[in-house]
Amino acid sequence: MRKRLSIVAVLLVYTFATSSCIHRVDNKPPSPYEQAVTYSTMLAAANASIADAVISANRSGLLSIQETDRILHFQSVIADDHQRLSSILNSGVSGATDSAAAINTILADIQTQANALIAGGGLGIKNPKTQGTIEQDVNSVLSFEPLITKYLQLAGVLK
Amino acid sequence: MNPQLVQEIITLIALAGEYGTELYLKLKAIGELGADEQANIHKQITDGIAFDQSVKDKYAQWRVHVGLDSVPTEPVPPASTPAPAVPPTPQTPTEAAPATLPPAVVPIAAPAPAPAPKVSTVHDSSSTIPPTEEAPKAGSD
Repeated sequence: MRKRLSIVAVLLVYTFATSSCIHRVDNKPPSPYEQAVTYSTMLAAANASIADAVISANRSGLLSIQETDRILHFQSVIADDHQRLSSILNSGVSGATDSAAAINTILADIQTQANALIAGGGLGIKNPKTQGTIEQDVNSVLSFEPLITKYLQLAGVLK
Repeated sequence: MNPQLVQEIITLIALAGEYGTELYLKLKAIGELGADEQANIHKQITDGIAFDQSVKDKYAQWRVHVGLDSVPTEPVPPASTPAPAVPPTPQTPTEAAPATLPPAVVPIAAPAPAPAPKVSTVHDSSSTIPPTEEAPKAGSD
C-alpha cells in the first residue's frame, strides 16, 4: 500500500514538474534562470518532505534505525549539495556561468549518490517492499535534477 | 495549464493521500512567483536553503532522539541571530534617571538601524544565504 502511494507521489511530482506549473502573478513567462532556481527549490522541498516521511516511517516501525539513518544521511548529503548549488545560483546568471563546472559537479554528485544508494543496495533494506518505497522516494527528489539542468542550459549557464 | 492535466493531477492527489497532497501543495506554492524576477530568485534561494537546513536539523534531532547521538550536538544558539544587532541606545549620562523625562528631552527613537547603503561593500553576515565564492568585491568594476 505504502509502495503504491509512494509511486503515485512520484507520478505526482513528475506530472507537476513537467507541466510548467511555474507561473508569475503578472502572467509574464518566468525566465529560464528563474525556472531553474525554482525547480532547485522544489528539489529541496521534496527532499525535506521525504525526510519527514522517512522519520515518520521509522517511528511507526516500518524502517529500522539503521535503515533510517542511512537514508537520512543520504538526504543530508543532498541538502549539503543543494546548499552549495544555491550559493552559486545566488550569484546570478553571470556568476553561475563562471561556476558552470562546479554546478555540473554538484548535480552529478546528487545523481551519482542516489544511483549508488539504490543500485548498489546502499540502502541495505532487507524488506523488498520498503526498499522499493525508498527507491521511489529518492527518485522523486531526482526528478527535479534534469529540469534544473535543462533550464540552466536554456539560461546559458550550462552548455 | 490545460484542463486535462488538472484532472490528471487531481486524480493523482486523490490517490496519493495526505503525503502526496502535502507535497503537491508545497510545490504548487513554490511555483507561484511574484512579478519581480530578482526578488523571486532571492526568495527561492532563501527558501531552498531553509529546506536544506530543516533536513539537517531533523536528522540531527532524530539521531539524538533514537540515541545515536547521546549529546545534543551543540547548544545551538539560533544560528541566524545576529549578535548585538541593536545599536546601543544613546543614554544620557547615568545617574539622572528621572522617572519622567524632562520636557526638553524628546525621546529620540534609537537610531534606526541605518538603511544599508545600496552598495554594501563590507560583509553581509545577517544574510541567510551563504556567500558565494564569487561574491563581488568592494568597488569592483
